[in-house]
Amino acid sequence: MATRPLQRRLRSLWKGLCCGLGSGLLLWQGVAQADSVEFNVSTLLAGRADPRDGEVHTVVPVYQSLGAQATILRPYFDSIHIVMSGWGSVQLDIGRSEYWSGDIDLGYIDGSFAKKRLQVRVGRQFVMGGAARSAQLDGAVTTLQLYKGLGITAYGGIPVTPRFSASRGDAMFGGRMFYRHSFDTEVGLSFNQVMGEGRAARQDLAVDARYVPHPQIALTGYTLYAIPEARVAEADFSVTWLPNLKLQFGADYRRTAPDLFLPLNSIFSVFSQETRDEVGGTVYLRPISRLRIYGDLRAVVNLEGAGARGGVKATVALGPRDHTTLSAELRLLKLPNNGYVQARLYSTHRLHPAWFVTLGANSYFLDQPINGQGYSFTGTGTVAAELGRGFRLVATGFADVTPFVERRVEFVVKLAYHATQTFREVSK
Amino acid sequence: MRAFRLRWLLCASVLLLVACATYWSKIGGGDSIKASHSVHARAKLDCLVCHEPIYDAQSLTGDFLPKEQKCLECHEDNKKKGECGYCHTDPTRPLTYRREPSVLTLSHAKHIERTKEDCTRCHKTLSDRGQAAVAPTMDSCLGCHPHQQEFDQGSCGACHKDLKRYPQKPLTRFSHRGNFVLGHARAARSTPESCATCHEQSSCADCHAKTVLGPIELKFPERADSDLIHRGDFLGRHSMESRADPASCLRCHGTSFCERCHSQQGVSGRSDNPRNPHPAGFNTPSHPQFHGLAARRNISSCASCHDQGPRSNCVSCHKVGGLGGSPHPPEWTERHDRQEILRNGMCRYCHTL
Repeated sequence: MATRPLQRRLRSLWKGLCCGLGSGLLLWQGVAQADSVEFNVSTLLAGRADPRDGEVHTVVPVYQSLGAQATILRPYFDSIHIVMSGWGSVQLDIGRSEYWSGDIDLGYIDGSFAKKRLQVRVGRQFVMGGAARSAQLDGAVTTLQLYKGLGITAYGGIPVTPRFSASRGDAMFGGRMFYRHSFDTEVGLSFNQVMGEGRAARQDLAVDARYVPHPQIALTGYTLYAIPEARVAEADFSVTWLPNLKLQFGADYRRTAPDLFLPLNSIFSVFSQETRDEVGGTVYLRPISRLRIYGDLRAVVNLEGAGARGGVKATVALGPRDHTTLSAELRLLKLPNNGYVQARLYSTHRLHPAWFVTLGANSYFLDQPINGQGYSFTGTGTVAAELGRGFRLVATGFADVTPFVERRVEFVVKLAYHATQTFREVSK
Repeated sequence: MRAFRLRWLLCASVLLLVACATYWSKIGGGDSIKASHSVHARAKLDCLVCHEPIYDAQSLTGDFLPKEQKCLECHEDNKKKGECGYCHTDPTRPLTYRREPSVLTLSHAKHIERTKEDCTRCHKTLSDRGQAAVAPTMDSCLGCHPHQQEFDQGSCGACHKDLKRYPQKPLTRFSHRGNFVLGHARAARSTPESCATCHEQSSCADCHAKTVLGPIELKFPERADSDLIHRGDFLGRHSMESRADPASCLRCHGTSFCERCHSQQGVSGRSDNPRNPHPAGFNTPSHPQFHGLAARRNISSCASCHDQGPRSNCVSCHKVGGLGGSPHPPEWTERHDRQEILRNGMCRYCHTL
């Protein structure tokens, strides 16, 4: 326990170092060295009534996000990418208070060397694949291609703490050995360990594979094994068959042990030993070019009993250039003791090359009422305008009737800017 | 009364949506040209008669669609008669062609030379009157350009200019049809590098970042067509979703995420004066709703309010010598020996050395 303040200090230091290093290099390298720089800037203004503490507060959050990516190409390495993405916000509780916040989503330097045989990425990033799944990490990831398709990925760092939530661990490390037979066929063996409060919070071994024996058939398999509990935390197998471009079938089976998704340092990880099975299929159909139908149905079996989830969605394109779409969706979830039916209808319209409108109605009908109400309804409407020179303006209104709020109206206005600046035409 | 009003609201919404879709499908989209490839082909017109500039094109950047002057070489009479609707879908609102960014490195000049001006070698399907343009599929390319090594290595840059900025959904092998949002993890877990060929980490971060400013539905309200999992009244159904698939929630949200909100709502063990959300018989051992049975069936549900480490109210009853007895599942002792108490400090919340 005595080590926790030290760990916190180290974590803060590491975060500060990463952020500082990333920001500094982005500014310096991006402007001075980059062959191309891409910017994404978004300003978002929302407004809603927030009933709490017996009063209705008028809350107006203002968000500002900024994303930038610089690409540098030189003869002595393959490529270097510097990626920064973050946001800041102020939440105004009109007449009462204001709350400032902000964070960095991504901030890393990624370099490829020796004809892409070696890739090194340092900073705030995602580690994808295998036992790591999609872990957000402040640290380093290295991938080395050993021989032909055989390679190894190793990573280590500090898991990013979710906003408004407790730490997901003090340290995380692991690796994945893979054989990439082709672009679509790969097999991997991976290990992941998360340390929390001086103990192993997770310790997993995973085997994953994807095999495409024919362009129309894809098979995937994934098994996650929790080493301390000597049990399978997740097993997932699927097959997708595409007889032609207008038809697609899928079948999948997934077993999870939900208790193994609790961190091992939670007291609740010692109380239960659950299994949950889900098996079902999907179908995609495009009988005519203007009509797309998608349906799925899965049986769910857990310790509470058997249930089902599924739905069907149809989208029809209208107009001379398919500029209007109308979609209807019906979904259901049936559990042994509860469930709901969802009905959704929405449409999108490109009224003009620069103007885009969406309308939507979304309802849920609950088997067991909440707060005496067995339904909810959300209506949405959006108008988007391409202003030119990379600017886009979006205005959206939401109206809700739910079991938790009698009536709610919310608006969002977004101004987005996207630009790519190429300084040198270089290709490798 | 409220249910009655909701029914009216629903009916009105459905009618409004269908009416808007029907009306806008007639008037929207702006002007476009009603050119029919099949009619021109039946007239035995060579492609290059209309698309002349493509003959020498070294890249896809440029104007290759025929200008009005080209059309008038044959259709001047229609224009003189004022039959604008013969070619234009909406002559009252004329527009220029929308120039799309070129996404491929391709020389039409070289291809035309090698195919001896047989455009149908690549353009196997052509759009007809009222249809959107149809680009050749990648199979058309692979018929003449076997590039297995590049494909295996994911080296797409020879043809695809920038898959990250102008992503093109693959038709086969990595089909994105149907609800790909729900199933994309299957591909991403085993072929992460292949995903990275087209998708930047920023696209992962939009949903998966722990630091994200808010739900993606708020960030991209205009994406009505996306199958986003928290769309609509997720708060109203979150208890059902978490019961149906607890692991899906726990992958992104720790129990502290649930507990924070449940504390504010006064249903968490941490709340000052918690309301009791449990059913009758929750503390009666022989009752079907007994909390021990509920915990065995769905422990994440318990953790969403009571996960406070040694201060958890489970500890007070279930510690060694407590009223609750051993809470461990039957096979627990087969996998955990007493030595673990020495190694794992959490065990000492209940066990003594």
